[in-house]
Amino acid sequence: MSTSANPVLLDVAKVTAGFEVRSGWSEALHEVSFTVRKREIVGLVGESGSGKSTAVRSVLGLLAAGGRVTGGSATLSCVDGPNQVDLMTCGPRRLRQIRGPQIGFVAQNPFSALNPVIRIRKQFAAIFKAHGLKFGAAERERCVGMLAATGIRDPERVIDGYAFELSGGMAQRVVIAMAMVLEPSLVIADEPTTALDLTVQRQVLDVFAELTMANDRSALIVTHDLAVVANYCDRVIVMLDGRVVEEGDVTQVLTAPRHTYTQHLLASARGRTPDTNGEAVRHGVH
Amino acid sequence: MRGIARYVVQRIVVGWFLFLGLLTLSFSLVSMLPGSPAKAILGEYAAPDDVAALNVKLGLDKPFLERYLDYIGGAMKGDFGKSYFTGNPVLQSLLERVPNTLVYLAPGLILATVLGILFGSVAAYRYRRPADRAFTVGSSVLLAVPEFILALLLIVLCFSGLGIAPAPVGMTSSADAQPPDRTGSLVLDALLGGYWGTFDSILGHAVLPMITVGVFFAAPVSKIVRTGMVQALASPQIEFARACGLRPFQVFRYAMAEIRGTVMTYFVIMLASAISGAAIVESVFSWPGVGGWSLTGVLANDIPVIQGFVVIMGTASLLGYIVLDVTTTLLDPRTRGQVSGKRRPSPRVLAKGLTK
Amino acid sequence: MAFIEAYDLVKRYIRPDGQELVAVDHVGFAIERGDSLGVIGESGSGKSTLARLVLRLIEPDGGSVSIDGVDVRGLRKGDLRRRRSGWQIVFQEPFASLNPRMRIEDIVAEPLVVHEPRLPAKERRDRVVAILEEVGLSGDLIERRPGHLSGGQQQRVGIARALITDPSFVVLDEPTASLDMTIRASVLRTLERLRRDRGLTYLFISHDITTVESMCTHVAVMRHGQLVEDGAACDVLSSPQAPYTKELLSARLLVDPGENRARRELEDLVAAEQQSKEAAGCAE
Repeated sequence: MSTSANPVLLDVAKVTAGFEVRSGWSEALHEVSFTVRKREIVGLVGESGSGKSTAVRSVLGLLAAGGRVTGGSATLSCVDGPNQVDLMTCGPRRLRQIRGPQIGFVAQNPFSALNPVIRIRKQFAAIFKAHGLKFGAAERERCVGMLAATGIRDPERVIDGYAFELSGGMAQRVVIAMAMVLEPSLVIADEPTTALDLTVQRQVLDVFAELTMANDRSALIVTHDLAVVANYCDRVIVMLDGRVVEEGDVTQVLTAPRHTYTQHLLASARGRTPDTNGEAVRHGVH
Repeated sequence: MRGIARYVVQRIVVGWFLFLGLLTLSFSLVSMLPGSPAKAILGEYAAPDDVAALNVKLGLDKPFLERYLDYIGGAMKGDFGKSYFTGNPVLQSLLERVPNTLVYLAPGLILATVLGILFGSVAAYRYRRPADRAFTVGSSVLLAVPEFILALLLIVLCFSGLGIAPAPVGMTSSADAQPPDRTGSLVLDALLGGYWGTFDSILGHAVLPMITVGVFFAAPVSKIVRTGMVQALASPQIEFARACGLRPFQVFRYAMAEIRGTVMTYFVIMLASAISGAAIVESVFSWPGVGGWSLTGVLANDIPVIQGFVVIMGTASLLGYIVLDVTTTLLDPRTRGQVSGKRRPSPRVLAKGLTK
Repeated sequence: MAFIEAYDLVKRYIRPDGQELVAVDHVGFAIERGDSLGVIGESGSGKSTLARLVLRLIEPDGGSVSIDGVDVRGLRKGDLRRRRSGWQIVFQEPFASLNPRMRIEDIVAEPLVVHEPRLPAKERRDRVVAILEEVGLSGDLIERRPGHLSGGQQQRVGIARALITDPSFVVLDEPTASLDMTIRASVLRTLERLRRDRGLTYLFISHDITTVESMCTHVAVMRHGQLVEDGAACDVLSSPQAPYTKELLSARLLVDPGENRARRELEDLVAAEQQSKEAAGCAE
């Protein structure tokens, strides 16, 4: 099923960003452009230092201290009405209102993302209150339903407990439920299964992809793992050293990669030891 | 719940043994101080017979172990000895003076904590920006200023200069009514007797010592808050909270929960160090608290007074650490679960809770 | 008798809550000289503890290990230290296992200083440069410190340090887990070349099936401290017998562009759910 005819939901255009460092300014993203269409799962692939994390944090307005977007735009088509908003210029207040109801975020490690000393119910409540909603019995039921949808069998008990009482896979399901509870049209997942054990990874990815597709959402999965892309994504964006080096339909990119780096990445992921030297490809070719 | 009660009782029992240890320590350390108390009382040129007689009277001729057992035995009954010079029972002096010290010290430490959290957080939110750099310079300067200089500066500014503070001589003015003596402590008597004018005057006099303590300790607190807050704000937990669109104040509360333990621990450290520093502040303000009292005792080699002060300081930090230990354990659900006897279910049991 | 033989190894820990945890539960295996045994397991399976037990970096509570006919548990401390020049280990976190204040030359030469203290400095340096070049690094790096190297280079330094005493047996504890995919592939290639050139025997600990598949002649699967299954790599990975091995292999995601397996299954599932919803709607 091709998604190329779907309307564009997020249009990132020529975003440049960087960080203040001791010696001045270090550019982490250079004119990065990509799109996410409606009902589409997009994989953003790269290795450490490729800028994939910086790219999604620029979109969400969550760059770490010292980080700044210096150019470009990220236009989000909002679900409520035809209005479009540029996430790079709309200001922190509007951006905060977008995070949650419009764009959900799934963190890498659930145990460091969930608050360890606050009950899960209260963390759900905080999300509702942050967006001017009350958190009553009906909303609690909605959260319980959301937890059940992620495959947690005992959601009533889980919602009244703490994150540390859960296994890694369960905790990541809670994070997914929090990211999707306000029905965002786009969910961004940052290495959603890197911190999990192999047998749990696939279950969690299945849940994530299923909830995305069943509710007509779009997803952007940031990952270093081409296998995740190959199995769950419609399109893939490959990043290297702060630039997008290849973008396209998953089947096309994985069968006929154009960029040397993509070819190399692919060979490595298949367990084949490629002829070229990995370090040389990473540091020599752009 | 029964587990929690048992845990608290356990802490108190442990605390009691630590208190006995503290008594032993204070007794032995102070006994080892050089100099003869009898000579200190009678003067350098006293006749040897007089010195010996006084030693017998003070019980200093007895062997160390006997004196130690006498001291512990007395302490159990609330008798910490009498001052060699004034003859006042140490316990009575403590009861009189501890409230006087607390009346400025407690609000001072709270002020320090509030200021520290305020400035430390602002600096952390403005990390590496001008406001943060200004904070670093300011707090470093403040850390280098001794407490008594700060006190004198405040007196010069608020009393001599602006005239908004009362004279820095004691807790009350001569014009204030004296409440009838009930507890021995002027602060408590004024409260119990309803002498609001007098109490008001005490508070007025307490403002400058309070600000001295508050500002002096605000510098280290704010440094600790800044460091903890910078880390907390960069943590994945805060990032996720922001990514869920939480309001800035909600995010701040999450970050505060992260550094809560550190700040509470520092508060107890600060309490001990503030009591030992009370001597300086109380000397400058002629404040009739435990600090000035102990300073006089130390200078005169008044052993029971010194012991009394060591005990009160030790008890304060001991109580502080017990309260800290219990509250941090109970505030954190992970440790709370352990003491209340609820076992954390194993991941294998939990894995069965999954439908897929 | 096989080159490496482990019988019935046991290691128990007492957890903070007083419960006993059997980290390694009666595990035994054998590796022939020049072979490479991959131990696969998830976190908490005991595979890292096993790696340390084999070299007696931690004392086992039961069982025995023999390396080239030497009873490792029977050795006295001094003998064990001398023998260790022939048995080396490479750890997961390259940076954490290298002292950041030392120069690369001193880090790599450290085992030589211990095992061949009378070696002249000139010769020692020549051996360091030679081994660095053998693991794919430039000899010019000897003056640098670990902080100035990339993750892949740091791990190569770790490998060079393990190989400088010319060992016959090397334990690799997740040597590439913290490396990027492309770097991982070239480090693995180097390890494979070294094994063939030097006739090394490897015990390769990993949670990644693809890594083990590309590196190992034999595979052992661990779970909850127990050995679930072992055998020749091609047998275990192509026709697994134990249910857990099957579960691991089916959970593994492959880069097969044509298949998109997981996604297709899900799409069918979602479509079926929607159909059943619509059907329910019609029935009302």
